[in-house]
Amino acid sequence: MSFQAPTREATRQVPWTPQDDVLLVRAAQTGDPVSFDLLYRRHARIVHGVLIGRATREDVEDLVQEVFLTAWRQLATLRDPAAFGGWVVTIARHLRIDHGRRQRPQQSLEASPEPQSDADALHRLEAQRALAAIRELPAAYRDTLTLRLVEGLTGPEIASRTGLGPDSVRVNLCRGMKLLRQVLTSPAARTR
Amino acid sequence: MDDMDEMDEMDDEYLWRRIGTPAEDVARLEALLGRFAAAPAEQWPPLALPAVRPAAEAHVPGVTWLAAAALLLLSVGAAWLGPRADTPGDPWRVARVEGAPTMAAAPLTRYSRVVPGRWLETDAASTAVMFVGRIGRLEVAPGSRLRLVTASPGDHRAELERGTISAQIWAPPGQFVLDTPSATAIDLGCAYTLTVDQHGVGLITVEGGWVGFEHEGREAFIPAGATGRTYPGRGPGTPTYADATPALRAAVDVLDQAGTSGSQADALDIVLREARRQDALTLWHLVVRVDVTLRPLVVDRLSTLVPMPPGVTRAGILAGDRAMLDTWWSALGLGTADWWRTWRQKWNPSR
Repeated sequence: MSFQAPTREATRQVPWTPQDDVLLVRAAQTGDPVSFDLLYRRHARIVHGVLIGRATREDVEDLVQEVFLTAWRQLATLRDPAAFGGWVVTIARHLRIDHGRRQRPQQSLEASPEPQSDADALHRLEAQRALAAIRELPAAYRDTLTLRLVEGLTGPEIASRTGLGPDSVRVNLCRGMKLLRQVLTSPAARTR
Repeated sequence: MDDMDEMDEMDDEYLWRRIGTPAEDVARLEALLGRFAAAPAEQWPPLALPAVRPAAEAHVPGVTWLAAAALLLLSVGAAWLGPRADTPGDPWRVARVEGAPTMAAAPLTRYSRVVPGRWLETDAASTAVMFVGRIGRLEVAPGSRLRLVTASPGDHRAELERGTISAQIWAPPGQFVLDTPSATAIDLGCAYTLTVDQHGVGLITVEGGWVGFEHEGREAFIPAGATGRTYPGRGPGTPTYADATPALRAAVDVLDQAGTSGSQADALDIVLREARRQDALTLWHLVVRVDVTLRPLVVDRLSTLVPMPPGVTRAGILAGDRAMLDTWWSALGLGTADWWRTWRQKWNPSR
């Protein structure tokens, strides 16, 4: 069976720079909730991508809210408004670590709805196995791959929105993909 | 180059930019893992922020938010449970919130896709919500007439003939443009409420971010906390902050509609007397709007509030030097003029 790469969210063709956040961050720092809500909607996807690398989908929705509520409370401490994207990603990573400590070890990865067919069930199983394999990778590769393969961001977008250098992102994507292939084709993965 | 290197290079480029042909396993992983992706931004539930500035939140009627929140819950459920197929282009969708809105004169009874050119109308008892592709949301108030003009990635355009919309756009600047009978509003990443009355006069109140207004070269930049009017045949008026004195705001309305030096003088006197530091926003716009004989008064008052930066001269400003005006604007602390010009250029390359 061959798969066609999905064409996702075409708005990403439009350049997005951290400078676009500056006025909104400044307004939010004065207490403007509308501007902060706009920031939340701009950056929720990337925060989601960072969190899905560790937490279940059900938990991720709550954690995204927690990340932005934390950011709202601490917004006055952000000195460079253009660094907002990387800053919320850092908050997300800290919360993800805390969440990982609280999570029970045997908790299932995903609580999915009942599959509608055998093919659907197989796809769900395979998707969960792929996500589980990504979750086993070192953090730098894991985050980059979830943002790329789950959220559909390009490498330059990942760099721009996380504050990472483009070279680092590119290396992480390349090495992470190699590692992921190794994990997915290992005998242990095949018998999972 | 051996086979492995060729494979790596192909992988690398596709992984990096999503350009070219993906390796089969990468395409498969993207297709499989897309099911775990975040829902589109407009479907995220609102943040329950602690109230810090209740006055700022009071612009949006509570009942409308409640209705929109209910709709959002429905759409979130649909997005998570349904197949996450990506749609070509960036379609708009519309849903009834209250009453009986119509689309192309037919009752709007369910959540549906918006077809360009068809008018959405709400009567005195109707409201609706339109989702602007994946980049924002418009709440359509009673008594409104609105239509979608174009909807393509990075280029969403609509026309508001009359009525009121509350827009919330979370895309980067310049992706959403709204035409009214008297001016074009270009969104610069923001939230605002825009009303067009039966005479085509527009009133915009910006709640977050920025809006740029333009009509035949006459432009206005309106930041959060400010309002601006537009007039048929004249284009955008002069923006004022909502917390400026009522006398200043009334005088600006007079100035915007006065045609001669004599009829402008009294109103300008009030504006100059009432202006605070933050009202430099208003004075900067007035520099090129008042009669040329009154211009020195505005320039001198503005320079006491915000001194001219290096490279800007009184003579240059009085002569209407665009570069100097932009440099002075950048000294107001409201963002740089380059920023706006970049986005205007993208939106309207002819200027």
